[in-house]
Amino acid sequence: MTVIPDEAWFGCLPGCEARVPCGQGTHAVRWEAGSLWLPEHPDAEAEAVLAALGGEKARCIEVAQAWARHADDLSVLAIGPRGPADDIAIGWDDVAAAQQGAAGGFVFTGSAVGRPVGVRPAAGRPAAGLHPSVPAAGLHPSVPAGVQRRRLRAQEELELIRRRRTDMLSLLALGYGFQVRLAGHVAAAHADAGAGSGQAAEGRARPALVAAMTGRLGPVAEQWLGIDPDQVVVSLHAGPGWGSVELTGRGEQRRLLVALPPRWLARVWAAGLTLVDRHLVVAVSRAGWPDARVLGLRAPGAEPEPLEVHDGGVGGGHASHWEV
Amino acid sequence: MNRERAETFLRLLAETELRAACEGAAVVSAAPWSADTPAASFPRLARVAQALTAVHALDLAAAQDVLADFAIAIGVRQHSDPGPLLLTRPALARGRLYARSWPGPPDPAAVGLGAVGPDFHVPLGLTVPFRHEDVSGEVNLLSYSNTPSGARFTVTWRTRSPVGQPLMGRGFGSPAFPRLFTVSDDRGNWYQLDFCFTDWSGEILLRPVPPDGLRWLELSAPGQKPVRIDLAPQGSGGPDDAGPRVTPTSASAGEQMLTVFADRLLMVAGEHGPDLRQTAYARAPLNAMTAGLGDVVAALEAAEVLSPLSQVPGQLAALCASLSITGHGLTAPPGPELPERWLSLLSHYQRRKPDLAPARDGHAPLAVAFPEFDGMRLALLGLHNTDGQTILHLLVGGLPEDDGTGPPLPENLPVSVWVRDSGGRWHVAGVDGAHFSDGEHWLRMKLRPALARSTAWIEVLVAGRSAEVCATLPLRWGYPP
Repeated sequence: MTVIPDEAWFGCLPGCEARVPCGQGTHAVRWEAGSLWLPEHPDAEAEAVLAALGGEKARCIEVAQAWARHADDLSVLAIGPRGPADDIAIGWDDVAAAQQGAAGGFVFTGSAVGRPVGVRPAAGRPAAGLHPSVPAAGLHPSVPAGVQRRRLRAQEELELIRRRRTDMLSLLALGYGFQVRLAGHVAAAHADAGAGSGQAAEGRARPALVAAMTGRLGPVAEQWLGIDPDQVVVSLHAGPGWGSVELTGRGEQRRLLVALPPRWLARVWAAGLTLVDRHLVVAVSRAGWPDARVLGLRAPGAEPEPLEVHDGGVGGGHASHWEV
Repeated sequence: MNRERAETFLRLLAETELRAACEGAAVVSAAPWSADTPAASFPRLARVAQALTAVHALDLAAAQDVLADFAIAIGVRQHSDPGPLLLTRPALARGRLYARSWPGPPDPAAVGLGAVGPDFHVPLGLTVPFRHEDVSGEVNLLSYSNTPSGARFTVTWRTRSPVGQPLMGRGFGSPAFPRLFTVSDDRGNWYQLDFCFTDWSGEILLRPVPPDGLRWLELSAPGQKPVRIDLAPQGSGGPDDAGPRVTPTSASAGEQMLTVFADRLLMVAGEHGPDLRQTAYARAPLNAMTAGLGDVVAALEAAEVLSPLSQVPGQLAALCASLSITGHGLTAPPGPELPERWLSLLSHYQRRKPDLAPARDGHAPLAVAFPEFDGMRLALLGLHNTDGQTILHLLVGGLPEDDGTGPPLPENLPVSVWVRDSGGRWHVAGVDGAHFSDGEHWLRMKLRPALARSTAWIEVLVAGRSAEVCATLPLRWGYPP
C-alpha cells in the first residue's frame, strides 16, 4: 500500500503575483503558501471597516474579499479552467464594465485580451444593477403581499447573481495562476470536510467534485492514452492508498475508470503535475517546489512509479512545466 | 431515488457540453460578440434539469446553480453574453416540458387511495336567459359545487346583439352586467357574485359561502323571472349510480412524467393531424419538444426514478416514429405495444380526411367527485363544446399553491386525463386555463379531438402514479338557441 503523506496541499505550488488596477494605479496581489497578500494594503482589515462605513473600497480589498467568499465555493470548479489549454481571458476592463452593467450580463470589452470581440457599451443600462424588467421594491400598497414578497425575492436573487458574477470575473481576471490556486483551495476544503466523516467528500459536494475531476482528467487522459474524454469515468476514492486507474472495453465501449481522492485536484492538478514524462501523476509523495517526488502511472492498471520531478518554469501565465 | 447520481449526471452533462462548446471556441472567439452563442448548448442542459427537478431528484436551487455556473463558464470562454441565461430561475420554473411529480417527493402516506371527500357537487343543466338594454343572452349552469375553496356555479354563456348576432369578446359586454344578477336561497339569504371567466365559460362564485343543507337557490337575471336551482343530491352522476372505478397502479415517478409528456405531445400533434407526415413545418414544434428526450431518459435512469426495464421509453420512441419525429435521442428500441388510447388518437390524426366541420356548440352538466389519490382531490364540473372545441372543467384540491418558485402546477398537471366517447374513440385532455383559490385549482381542459355532439356518454380516465380512476357519465346535452 502506498502511504500518501498528509501535508499542506499547496506544497508544489510556488508563489504567484498579479497586478490589479486599484485607485490611481495598479497594485500587486500575491499568493504565497496558501494565503493571499495585499502588499500595498498593509492594514486591509481597517480599510475594509472604513469601506463598510461608507468609504470607497479599494479594488484590491474587493478582490481579497471575493477570494475569501469563494475559497470553498464549488462553482469555482465548474467555471474555472480545466487545464492550461483552457484559456479564460478576462481583463479588468471586463470586470469594470460588468460592474456598471445590468444584473444579467457580462459586458465584454475585450480590451485586456486584444481579441477582436465586439463591444457592448454599458451606457444606457440601468445603473442600479437590476434587470429593467424587475420593478423596484416599495410597491404600491394595493399590490398583494404575496406579489410583493415574490418581487422582493426576485430582486434579492438578482442582486446575488450580480455579486456572484462580479466576484467570478474579478477572480478570473487575476489570471491562470490564481485561477488554479483558488480551485485548489476549494478542492482541499471539501476533501478535508469529507475526511472527517471517512468519505472522499461530504455528500453535497460529491457530484460537483466528480464533475470537476472528470472535466480535468478527460483532456489529460486524451493526451496520455488518446482516449475520448467522454470515455473517462471518474469516481471519488476514499480511504488509504492513491486509488485506481483501469482501462476496460473496446471501441465505443472503451472506458478509463479512474478512482482518485478529491485532494488530487488540489495537490496534483492545481500544481500542474497531471502528466509528467508520459506518466499520469496520481499522488504527490513528497511535496516541494521546484523539486518534488510524485507517483506516476505509465499505463492503466500498472503500479505507480515514484518519480523525482522538477518544475522547469517555462509554462506561460504561472502555469508549471514539470519534468522528470 | 438517488439524488447524488441525479446531480452528478447533470453536472457531467454540463462538462460534456462545455467541452463540446469550447472545441468550437477557436472559431467563435474571433467572431463578433453574439448573444446566441452560449444559448446553443444551454437547452439540452436545461431540459435535463427540468426533468430532474420535476421528479424531485434534484432541488430547484441546485439545478439553478448548475445552470448558472454553466452559463458563466461558457460566457467567459466564448466572449458571449450569458446574461439571459443567468436569469434562469424563471426560465426553469415556467414553460416547462415536464410535469412535476405530485404532490412532492414520494410519501407512502400520500400515495394511496382515499374516499370521496365531503365536498358537495350537483349537476344542473339549467339555462338562464337575460336581457339588459340592447344586449341579450343566456347563462348555462353546468354544475353547483361547495368545497373548501367556496361555492360556485360552473357556467357557459353567450351574448347577442339586438339583431341576434353573437357578440364576441370577453366579459358580459358591459361591466355592469354581473351586478345585475342576484342569488338567494330557501332561507332568505342573499349572495354576492364574483364572475371569473375565460372566453365563454367560467365560474360564478357565491359569497358568503351558502350553508349546508340548502334545498334550492334562486338566480335572478336582468329582464327575466328568477330561476330556481334544485340542490337535491343526484347520486354519483354515473349510470345506475355507479361511482368512479378505481384500479391501483404503481408507476414510477419517471414513467409518470414521460407518460404525461406523451399526452402533451399528442395534444400538440393534434393541431396538425395528417400534415405531420408531409411537412417539416408541421413537425417543428414536436421536434422542439422532443429534442434531448434521450438525455432525459438517461437522467431519470441515473436518478433511479425510471427502471432500465421500463417499457415507457420504448413506447415513446414508437410514438415519435408514428409522428415522424426525429432527433429525440431515445435509444430504446420502439415498442413493444402502444397504449390503446395513444393508438386511437394516432389513427385519428393519420386519417387522410380529418374532421373539417367543427363540433357544434352544446353543453353538458357534470358533477362527479373522484376518490382521493396521489394526495389529490378531483371533481368534474362540466363539459361544453364552444367554437369547435370541447372543454372539460375540473376542480383539483390537495395541491400546494404556486408560489412562483416552482413550476406552475396547473399548467403541468402530473396526471393523464383522457376521455373515451360512446363511439369508442379516445380524446386526450390538456390544461388550457387555470386559477387558484383558497387551496383549490380550477382547471379548464381542452379535449383533442373535440367531442361530437352526438356523444351519448363519456368515460373519463384520470391516471396517476398510484391509481387509475375512471367514471362513466351520460351526457345530457343542452344547445344554444
